[in-house]
Amino acid sequence: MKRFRLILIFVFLLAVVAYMGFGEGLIQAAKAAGQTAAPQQSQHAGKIDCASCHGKGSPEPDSTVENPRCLECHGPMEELAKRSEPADFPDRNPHKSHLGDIACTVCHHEHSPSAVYCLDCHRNFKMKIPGGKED
Amino acid sequence: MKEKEKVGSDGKRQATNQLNRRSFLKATAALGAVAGSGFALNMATPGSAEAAKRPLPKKWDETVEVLVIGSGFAGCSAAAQATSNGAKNVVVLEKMPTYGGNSIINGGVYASWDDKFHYREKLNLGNDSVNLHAEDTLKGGDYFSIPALVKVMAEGATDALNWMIDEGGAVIRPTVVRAGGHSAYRTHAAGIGKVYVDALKRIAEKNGAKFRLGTEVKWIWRADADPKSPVLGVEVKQGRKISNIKIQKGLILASGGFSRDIKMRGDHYPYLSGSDWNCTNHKGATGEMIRYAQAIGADTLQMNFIQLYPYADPETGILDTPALYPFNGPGNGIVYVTKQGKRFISELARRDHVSFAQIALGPQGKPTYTIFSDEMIEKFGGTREETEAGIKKGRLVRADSIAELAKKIGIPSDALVDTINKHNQYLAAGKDPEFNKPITKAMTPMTKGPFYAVAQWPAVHHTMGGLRINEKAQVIDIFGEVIPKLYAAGEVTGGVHGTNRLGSNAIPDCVVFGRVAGGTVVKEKA
Repeated sequence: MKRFRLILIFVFLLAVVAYMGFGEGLIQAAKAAGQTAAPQQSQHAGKIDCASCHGKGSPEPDSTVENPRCLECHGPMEELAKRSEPADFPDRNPHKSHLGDIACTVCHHEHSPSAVYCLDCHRNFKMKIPGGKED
Repeated sequence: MKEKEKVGSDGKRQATNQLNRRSFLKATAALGAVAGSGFALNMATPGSAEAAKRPLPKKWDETVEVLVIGSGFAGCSAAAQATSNGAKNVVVLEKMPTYGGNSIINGGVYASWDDKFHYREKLNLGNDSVNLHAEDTLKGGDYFSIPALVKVMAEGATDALNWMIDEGGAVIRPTVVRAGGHSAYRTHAAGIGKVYVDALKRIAEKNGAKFRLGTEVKWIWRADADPKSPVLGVEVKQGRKISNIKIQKGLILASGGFSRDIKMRGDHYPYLSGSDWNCTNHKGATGEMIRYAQAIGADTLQMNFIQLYPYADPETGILDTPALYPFNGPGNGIVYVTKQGKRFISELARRDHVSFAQIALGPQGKPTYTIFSDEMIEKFGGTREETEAGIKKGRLVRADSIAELAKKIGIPSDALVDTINKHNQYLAAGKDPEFNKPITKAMTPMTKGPFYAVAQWPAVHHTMGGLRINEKAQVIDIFGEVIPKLYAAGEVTGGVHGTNRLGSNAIPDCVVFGRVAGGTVVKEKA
């Protein structure tokens, strides 16, 4: 029985390695074709890799990135908000808005063009994200 | 055996797609019974022959005790109450990437005859009662409201407000105002609806409710239209992933109104069709949850009563802080004027009356203005910080004299000076011979500057109609029966406000019925 269990574990590990290899293979193939598996469209492109945001291993489909991860480089939140405070209208600060605590990914996208959510209602605001839709 | 024959004949007609609603419901009910409830009640998906055979999920991806759809006032309130009453597994689904729905951008005005601080009494602003609040609401909606529902709102408003203050940490401003259509100073101000959303969310989360953003309902599962047949669950979409959630005690629809659903708006009120109308609502204010509820037999009412907010920013249609002042200020003596500097209506008139008085001026009449003075700001629930920000953005215009103010906004000085002088005299005399506005002692004459102007114009704002509910917030089907385990609260429902919702009745409607739904659902058997 013990041997059988060992075989099972071995087969499982083999499958895991194969699976990971497959994921890696995809990324390698994409890289060979001059792109990552999910093309980067922000200013991160070419500067940081998948793991920088998603951690180790291939991300699940539709997986998102939580704020603390972004803030490791861009934070802390208070300082980020200070940096983005408009000189003319201090209360039009996208990082300290009337929508409260919201996900960075509401506006900032990596694999599609970023878009300023504020503009959905405030059509006359002059706001843009570098490399984003309105840029 | 009669039952079976019906199935056969109706089944055929189903395929020819010529069913009316009633026979369809019956047919599907019978079909469900025979097939052992393997099929879902389903009418709205295109291609109804296949739709009728859309099977119920074979397995559920997840089971939830109470599921709430929408994270605005009503949804947060329902989750807060359900968890307070002992529900352990309460999940709130929000389709938008941010929480709070339209409530988080709402103006924060709350009608209640009293509050824990008794501001009305302390500020000597006259009398009020639950009954008077209910009467004003009925009258303001031309008696199209369902009185029993109005009663629930008016009776529950004060306790709900105090609950948000005591349990949720909501901070209201130390005043009450008299707003259009109300006969008493009962409208409380908080600056913005976020104050209440956050308070309710705090209570809900403290008690263990879970919020899931970016998660959209795609279908409501119910086996058939038998009055004993409960709602079973929902199909949801998160990103590209579709899953099915089973519901133990109940589903609470708190998904808001449909002001941004151009098709639904136009279908029921053709005058407001098309996208030319400005709208105060966030983009998520669409009517799909109403459609899904209709597809499982829910009744709707008064879908054609849709409100314009008379004081929106004329350029963008949004209801920003300056756009709140014209609504909050009438009880303190503000004046509405046309571009010619003339008054055009009683400032204490209902929102629908003010909106259509503006529209009657014609496109050339856009915008109209609200004129107020510095002395009034705190009394009507505003702050200096807000006015300074409003001026900087160009939404408010300020001047030391009325004549100068007129010049700055480009209307004839003589006319505006004359209008304000006359209005001052009306306040002194206690009578408005032009528009018959009820004059009160709290109205301040505009003799001392600085003075302010804010431009205003109607924009689509609130849908009074929606799902039919009873006093327990249970959804009623098209035959008049309760749909077991289905609840609704807030703007998604109809019947509380009649033809025209009185301003500041939306939050008490949402919070009170959210509490009713949340409190009732926990008594259901799992």
